Amino acid sequence: MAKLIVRKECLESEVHFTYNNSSYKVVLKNASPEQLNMIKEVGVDVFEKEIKEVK
Amino acid sequence: MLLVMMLFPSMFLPAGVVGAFALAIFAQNCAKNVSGASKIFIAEKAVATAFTITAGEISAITGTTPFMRVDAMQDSVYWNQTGELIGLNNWKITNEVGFDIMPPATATNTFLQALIDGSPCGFFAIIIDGNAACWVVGHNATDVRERPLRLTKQDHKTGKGLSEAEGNTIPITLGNECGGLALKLDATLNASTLDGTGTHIDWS
Repeated sequence: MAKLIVRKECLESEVHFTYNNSSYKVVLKNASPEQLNMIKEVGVDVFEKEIKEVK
Repeated sequence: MLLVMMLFPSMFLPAGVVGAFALAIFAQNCAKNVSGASKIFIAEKAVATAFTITAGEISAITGTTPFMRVDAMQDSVYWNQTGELIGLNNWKITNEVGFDIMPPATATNTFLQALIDGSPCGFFAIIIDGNAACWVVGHNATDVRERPLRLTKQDHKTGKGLSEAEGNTIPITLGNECGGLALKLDATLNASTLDGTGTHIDWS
């Protein structure tokens, strides 16, 4: 799984989202990798674009 | 320990309780202030999946389906946000969002039925106020997404005869009780709501 990197301008933001019928309030600069994965699955656009390796 | 508690009181708040804002100077903006609300958009809680908050304003809305435009009657849209002290230490905020639609028809029945069906899980509403500021009602930073708006009343009366102006309009009321103030959209999201270019709303 690629490492998720939050864009610098979004670090101070917090995301309020629902995942598996539970509500979460996550400050992005303090988010755990699991929380970041949930935020990505919900579709929140706060991450750096993934850089694909060229073989 | 006592010194640490005095210096950093927010460290000792129970989990889930956020620290208070310190009182600061409130500077009034010398600009026109227009009463009323002009427009309402509604989304079911399930389809507006996330709000991103930056500096106290909503900077992004993520969803599977956008907020839907509701063509309410002119000057019928209103939003009341009323705060009330509960006991000595608690503060409750009550939101009431109202608007009138017309005429009674299959289309209004379909819309009403969607509000009735969606009410158990709840709604968020974007209200455009008289100052062209957009507010998300039903979400707040305290309860996050757990106390959305629900349909609280719909009231259709035919009226008696031709001289009753309110006859055959359908006033609709959404409301909730919650622990936090509704948040405003930030300047970018506000502009894209007003000009209809934002993907978080459906004007068409």
